[in-house]
Amino acid sequence: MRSFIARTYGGFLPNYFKIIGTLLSGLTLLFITAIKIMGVDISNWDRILFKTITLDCIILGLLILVLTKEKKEDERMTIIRFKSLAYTFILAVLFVLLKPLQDMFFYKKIIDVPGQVLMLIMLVVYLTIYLFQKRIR
Amino acid sequence: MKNLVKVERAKRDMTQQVLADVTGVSRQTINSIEAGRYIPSTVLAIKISNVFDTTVNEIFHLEKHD
Repeated sequence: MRSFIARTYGGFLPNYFKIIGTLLSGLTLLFITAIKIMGVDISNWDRILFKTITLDCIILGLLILVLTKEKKEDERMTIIRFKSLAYTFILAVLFVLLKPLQDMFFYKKIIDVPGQVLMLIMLVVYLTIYLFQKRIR
Repeated sequence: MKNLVKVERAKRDMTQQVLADVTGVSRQTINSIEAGRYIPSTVLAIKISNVFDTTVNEIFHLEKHD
């Protein structure tokens, strides 16, 4: 008899969505990298729109990875998910608190962090902590 | 918390995968329990004990610092 929490928060998307999430984030990153390496002239492009779309694609891909079920979802995976979420939240708060200090030290002015960038950082941190906890021997 | 899951499993010549399948968890969870890295829930502890046809107290033991 699985607990309510294990049933509800054990991941929502079928396991094969991992491929979709990885491809979406990976291909977008590859696209951005290719544009930089090939020196494509993007001065005529709407930079804000381009940046928004590419960041959103990466964020969506990572979100799909976060929401995908493991092959075998059990109580230990649920606990790992919650721990990862807790650590990510704490690190995000520390990041927001300490970044202005770092900006003042290095740049002598405070630089705003766009919401998309913060979300991207949180998703990357969550996945890193999650994968690390899964693989601890 | 100490446990005798590995010992009981070995007595019955049972693999981690078989125990995992019977109790409805992943092999990694059984491995983590045996290594002492994960403390199972009450439900899982009872399931494991039932597989070995014994009681929870005979499989899982509290340590002094628990």
